[in-house]
Amino acid sequence: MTLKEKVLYYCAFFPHRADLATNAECLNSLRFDNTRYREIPDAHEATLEWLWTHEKYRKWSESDSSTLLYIEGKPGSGKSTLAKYFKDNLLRREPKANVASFFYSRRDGDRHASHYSMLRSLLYDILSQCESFFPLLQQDYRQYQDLRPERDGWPCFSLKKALLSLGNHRRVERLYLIIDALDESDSKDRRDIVQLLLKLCSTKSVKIFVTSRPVVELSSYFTGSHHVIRMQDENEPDIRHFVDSFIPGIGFSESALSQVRKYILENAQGVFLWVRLVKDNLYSYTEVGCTMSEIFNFLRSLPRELEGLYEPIVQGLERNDKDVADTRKMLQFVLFARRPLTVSELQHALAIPNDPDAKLKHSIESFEDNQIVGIEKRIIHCGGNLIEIKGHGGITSVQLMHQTVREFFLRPGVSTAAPRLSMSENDAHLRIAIACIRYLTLCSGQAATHGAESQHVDAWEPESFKAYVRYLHQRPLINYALNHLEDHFRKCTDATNLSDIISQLAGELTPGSAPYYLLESWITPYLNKSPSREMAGAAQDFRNKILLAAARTGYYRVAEALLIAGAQINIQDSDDGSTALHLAAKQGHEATVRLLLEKGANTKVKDHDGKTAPHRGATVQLLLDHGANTETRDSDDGSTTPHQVTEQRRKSMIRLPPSDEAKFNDGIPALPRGAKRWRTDTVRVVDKSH
Amino acid sequence: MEGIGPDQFLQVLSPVDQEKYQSGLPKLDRDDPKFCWVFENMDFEQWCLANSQVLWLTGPPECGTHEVASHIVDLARSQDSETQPIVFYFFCSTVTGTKSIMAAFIHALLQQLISYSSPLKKISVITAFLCTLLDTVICRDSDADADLWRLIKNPDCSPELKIRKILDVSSVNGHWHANAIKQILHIEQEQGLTIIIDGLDEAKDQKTGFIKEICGFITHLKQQTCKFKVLLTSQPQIEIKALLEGLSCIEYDIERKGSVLLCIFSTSS
Repeated sequence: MTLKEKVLYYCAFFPHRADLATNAECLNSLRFDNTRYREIPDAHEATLEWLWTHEKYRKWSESDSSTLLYIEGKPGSGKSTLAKYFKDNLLRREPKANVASFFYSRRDGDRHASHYSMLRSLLYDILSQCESFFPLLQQDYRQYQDLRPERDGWPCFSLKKALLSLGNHRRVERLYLIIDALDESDSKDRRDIVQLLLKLCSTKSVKIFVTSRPVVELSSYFTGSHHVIRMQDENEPDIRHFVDSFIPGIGFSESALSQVRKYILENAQGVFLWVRLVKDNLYSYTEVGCTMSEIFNFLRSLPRELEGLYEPIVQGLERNDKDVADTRKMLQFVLFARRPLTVSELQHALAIPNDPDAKLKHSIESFEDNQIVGIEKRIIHCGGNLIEIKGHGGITSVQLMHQTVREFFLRPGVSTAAPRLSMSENDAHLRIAIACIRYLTLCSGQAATHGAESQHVDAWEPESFKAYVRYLHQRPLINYALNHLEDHFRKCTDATNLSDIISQLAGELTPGSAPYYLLESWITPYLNKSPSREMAGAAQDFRNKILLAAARTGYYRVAEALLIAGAQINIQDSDDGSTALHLAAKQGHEATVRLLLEKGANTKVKDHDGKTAPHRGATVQLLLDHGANTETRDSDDGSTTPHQVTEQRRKSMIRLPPSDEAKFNDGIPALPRGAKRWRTDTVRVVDKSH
Repeated sequence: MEGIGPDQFLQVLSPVDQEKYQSGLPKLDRDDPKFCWVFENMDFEQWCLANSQVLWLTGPPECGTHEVASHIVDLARSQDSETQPIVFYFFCSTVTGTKSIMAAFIHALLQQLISYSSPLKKISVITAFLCTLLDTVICRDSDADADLWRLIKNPDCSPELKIRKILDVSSVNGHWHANAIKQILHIEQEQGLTIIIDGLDEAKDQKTGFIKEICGFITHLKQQTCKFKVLLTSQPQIEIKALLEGLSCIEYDIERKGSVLLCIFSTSS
C-alpha cells in the first residue's frame, strides 16, 4: 500500500464532520521523536530571562529581514538549556509564530546526530502546525509520496529543497527554526547544512536560532552579518543566582560562606555545569562534618576546568576489582553502544562475560546468577554521577551526564588519571560484539528447556511456543544484539578473532533446537556446513510461528526481534489464516500493531473467515492511521470497522472518530441511539454507558 | 413563443437568482492562509491555465468551500472580455427542498445563458429549449401527451400558461431539462464555458441522482465543446467520492497530512 493510499484511507474517517482539532490530535499521536529535547534539564528558576532584552537578540528578533542568531558557548555553559528555554517560551511571547526545532545529540546515537533526522524533524514541525506551508512542498511531496516510506524514505536532497523553499512563503506569521548543538551533528555534510541555513536566511523573514560550541568551522560562517551571543559573557548573573540558591544549604554563617561564594563566582568562567559539579562535591564533602577552613581548602583543591573535575570523580571510581570491572563494562556500553541501552538491557549486558580470551563454557544458570539485583543503585554507584538514568514515556535509558564526559573518556588523559578505566574504542566494540554473540547463543541456546518439554521444536505444543515467547520477552538485549551486532563487528579491526568466536558458538547450537532455528539465518554464514533446504524451511516456519505467538501475546519487543531474525511479517496462521497483524489487533496490543504497521505489514490480507485486520481489531485507530480500508465489509454481518468499535466497547477505541455513514446490512446505522454525532466524546460516553 | 418575450419567459421560469445569492456571500481575502489549500495548490493553478478540465474541491464546512466557489466565479467573470468564457454558476444551497434540483440547476443555467445572449439569440435559445423539452415530454409521457396538446392548441390559452404547463409536466424529470439544455449549449462553444457548481452535498436526498446527471452533463460537454472548465465543490462524503472517482480533486488538507506521515516514517537516508 502506497503512502498516498494510506493517507486516503486515513482520512476516510475524517469526513466533513471531523473538526480540525480532531485531525490535529491524530497527527499529534504520530509525533516525530526528538529524544534529546526531553532530556535537557529545565532552566533554573529565574535564569535566562536576559535573553529577551539582550541587544543582539532584539536586533535579530526585530529585524524585518531574515538573520541568524548564533549562540556560542563553552561546553557546560547551558546552551541547550537556553535553546529549550527559548523554544518553550517563544510561543507565549509570539502565540502565532511557527516554531520548528531539532536538538542534535551524539550521545543518543547516530540517528540523533544525523542531518537527515534534522531536516525531517523541522519539516514535520512546520507541516504539522501550519497548513499554509504545504503548497510550497506539494510538488516534491508528490514525487515521493508513492515510495514505501519505511524503505525508500523522503530523499535528503528533496528535504533540503523543501526547507529552502520555505523562504519564499508569503506568510503573515514568522517562522522560527531552532537548531541546538550543531557541533554535535554529523561532521560529514555539515558544511552543506550550514550553507542551506545561510541561504534560507537570505530569502525572507525566517528567523534561525543556532547553538554550538566554539567551532572554527561554524564561527567563521556565522559571524559577520549575523548576530552572535556568547553564553559565557552573559550567564554570570544566572550563575550567581544559582550559587545564591545552594550556598545556604552548606550550613555555615553568611560571612564565612561569602568567601566560598566569591571563589566559585570568580572561577566559574561561564560554565554552569562546573558550578553544579562543585556544588555536588561541596555537599558530599560537608556531609561528614568539617571546618570552614577545610571547606575552603577543599574548594581550592578542585580543578577549575570542567574536565579537571571529572578526573577526581573517575579516580574515585577505581575502588576495588569488582567495581572497576562493572564500571568498565558499563562505560563500554554507555560510550560505544549504537543507542543508549535501557536499564534492563544494561542489567543483562553486565551479566554476560565479554572477555575475548575466556574459553569458559557459560550456562544460563551462571548468567542468571550474575544479574545484579538493584541495578539502578549499582549504576549510580559505579557511574559516580557521570552516568545517569534518564526516563521518559515509561522507558529509562542509561546515558552520560554530559557530552563533555564522553569526550573526557575518549581522550588519552584518562589512562593517566584512572589507568584501569581507560579503554580503546576497538577493544570496546570487540567486547560489546562478544557480549552480544554470547547473549544470543546463551539466552536462546538454553531457552528451549524453559517452559518447553522437548528441546526439539517438532514436538512443541502451542503452549510451548507461548512459553518460549515469554522467555524471549525476558531477554531484552536480544533486540539490540540482533540489530547492532553487525555494526560493532564492522568497527573491530581484529574481526578474525570475533569470527572464530561466532563460529565456535554457532557450532555449539544443536540443529533442530529452538535457538538454532531462531538464529539460523544469522549463523548460516559462520557454519562449516550450510543447513539443508528442509532445515532452513523448518527454521523459517519456526520463526514465523514465534512471531504469531508474540503478536498474540503482545510482546512487541519479541515480535521485533523475530522480524530482525527473518520472520515473515505477512505470514498467515495455517489454522485460521490470521496474520500477526490480525492477532495483535484482535487482542488490542497497540504497541505490536504499531510495530507491524511501521515494518510494512499488509492491512488487506484476509483470514480464512474473509476478515481483514481492521475487522478483527480493537486498535482500529492505529490501523486507520496506517491506511486500513475502512470500507471493507465484514463477511458475517456486513458491518464496517466502526461497528466493531461499538460491539467490542473497548476503551482503547475512544480515540476513533468513526463514520456515521456506516450501516449494518439491515439498515440500522452504527451511530448509537441518542448520539447526535460521532465524536470522540460521544464514543467515550457510549463506552461508559455499557 | 409568439407573444412572449424573454423577460416574460424568465418570469414563468422563475429560477432562483444565483447572482443575487453569490453577491451576498462574504468576499474572501485570497492571501488569507486559510484558503491557500486551494489557491496555492498546484492542481488549482493547472485548472486555471487549462483549456478544458474538471476540478472537484472538497473539504469540511470550516474550510470555506462556498466562499472559494464564489471567489472563483468572480475570478472567471473578471477575465479580459476577449478571452472571457461564458460563466455559469449554481449554488445548491439556494434550492434545497426543491422537487427537482436538476431542473432548478438547468433553469438557473438557462437564465444565465439568456442574459449572456444577444436579443436575437435570446429568443432562439428559449425556443430551442422549449421545443426540445416539448418533444421529449410528448415522446416519453403518453399520459401527459393528450392534455398538453389540448392546452397548446387552445388559442384562448395564454403563452405563459402554455410554457408553465410544459415546464411543470417536464419538471418531474430533471433529466429531460438536462437533455434540452444540452441541445442548445453547443451554440456557444466558440467562446468556451466555465461552470461552477457549489455544494453538491446540499442536494440532500437527490444527491446521487443530481451528481450522476452532472457527470452526464460533463460527458456531454466533453463531446460537444472544445473549451470548457468545470469546478465542483462539496463536503468529502463517501458516496460523493465514489460518484466522482477519477476526477481531478483537491481534498482539504489531505496531502499535507500525507507529507507529515512521510516525515515520520521516512527512516533511510
